[in-house]
Amino acid sequence: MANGYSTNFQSLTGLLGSLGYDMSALTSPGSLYGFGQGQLYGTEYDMYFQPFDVGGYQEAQSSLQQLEENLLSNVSQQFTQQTQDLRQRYGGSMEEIRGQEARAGFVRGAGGRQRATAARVGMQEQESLVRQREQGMQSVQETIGTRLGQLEGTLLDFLGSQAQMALNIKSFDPKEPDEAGFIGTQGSGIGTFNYGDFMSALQGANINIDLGGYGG
Amino acid sequence: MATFGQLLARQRGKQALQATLGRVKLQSDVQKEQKELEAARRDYQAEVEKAEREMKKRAKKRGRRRLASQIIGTGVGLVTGQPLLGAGITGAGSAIGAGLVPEYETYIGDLAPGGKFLSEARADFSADIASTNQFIKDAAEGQNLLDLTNALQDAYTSYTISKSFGKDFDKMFAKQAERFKKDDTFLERTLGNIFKKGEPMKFFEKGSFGDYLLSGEGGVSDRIAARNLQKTQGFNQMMSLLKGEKPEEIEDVTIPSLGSYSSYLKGLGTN
Repeated sequence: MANGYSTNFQSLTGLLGSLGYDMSALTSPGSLYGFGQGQLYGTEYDMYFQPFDVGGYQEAQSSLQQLEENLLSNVSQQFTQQTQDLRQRYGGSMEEIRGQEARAGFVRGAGGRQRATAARVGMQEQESLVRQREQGMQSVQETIGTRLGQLEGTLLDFLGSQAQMALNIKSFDPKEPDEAGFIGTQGSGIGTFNYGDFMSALQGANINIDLGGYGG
Repeated sequence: MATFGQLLARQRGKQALQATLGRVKLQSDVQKEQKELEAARRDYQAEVEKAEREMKKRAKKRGRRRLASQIIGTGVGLVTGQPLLGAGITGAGSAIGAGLVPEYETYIGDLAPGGKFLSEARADFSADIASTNQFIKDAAEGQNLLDLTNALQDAYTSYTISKSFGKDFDKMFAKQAERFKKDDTFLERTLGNIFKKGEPMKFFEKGSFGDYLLSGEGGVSDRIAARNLQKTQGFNQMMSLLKGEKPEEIEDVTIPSLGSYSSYLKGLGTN
């Protein structure tokens, strides 16, 4: 509904842009903190980051838009109805004054005063109706604004919880994918161990060990 | 159709659930890795203890062989009166005996399980394993040198003992030989019961090896005589001077040592 009371529903992209993010913050939230394809920690930690429910958000936003349209429409219809009633009542009063003039032979001044009074009362009622309409519209705007704030708050909560998750992961000392010396397979135990491989892995980890006559 | 309130509550609930599940998974994964790392540490400790035990066992074996070489070498040095020969036997025996015990060269494999977290703890663990392996490698590499220096030391000790106690040993040997010659000792009787059908063994009967050690050329008796001569020469010279006689010239006395074993065999042939 194109009127001055409609809420400006920002798209997710616009909202994220105003916060300094893009859509990847919702679809791949770990990437903001170095967890993701081609990033420092790689994709191994993706399981701890869940994407934002964009569909659910958009559905809720549409529902809110619909609610706003309905509420504004209600206020508008109510105003139209009340205005029509007022016009009818005003028209009826004018008819009655004219009838009285014809029957009782009002002098010109008395009929005119009655019409003026009726017009003043009509104007006052009209102004009251306009005020009520504005109040109604403002109330709808307030309600929708509050709810939109709650909805947008879920987005901010999401971003905050992902930051917290990234912090938690980092506090547990995650390995970097190219970190040498980090052995990812179960050891083979004594006897069947390749000393050369082991030492080269350690050397990659900047642990200074003289290979001497050993190694592959 | 769901109302906005429902949809909002659903969105919030879903997010809260995801956050909780994520935290739980993270913590359980970290805990699991921590336990695996602790278990690996325990295995490592057991491997280190095993290596220590094995190294000690081999060191004991080397020690026993060195001791045996020293006893044999020093014995030879004493009975032959040739400390250098004894030292040589000790040194060679010690070096060969200890050298034949293989070095401990079993390295500790990487026991750290794979994982996503606790990278510093893993790096520390790997460094500990590397350091232990380096120790094993250094010990193995240094063992040959250690065996040789020990052999030299053993040889020197053997030489010193032979030199220092040679005189006392000869006296004791001669004294004991007299005793053995006089009576059948318990040892001779016992060995005789075992090896000579009840007839006592005679360690020092004429032509025996004991007799060769005692009375052979350069044997115990010769050495005692030479030492006595050395000792009495000065005394005799002084007595001659006191008596107003012309003193005898002092001879340069060399303490003899036992001749080669072939002379013993030759002696056996003539007897």
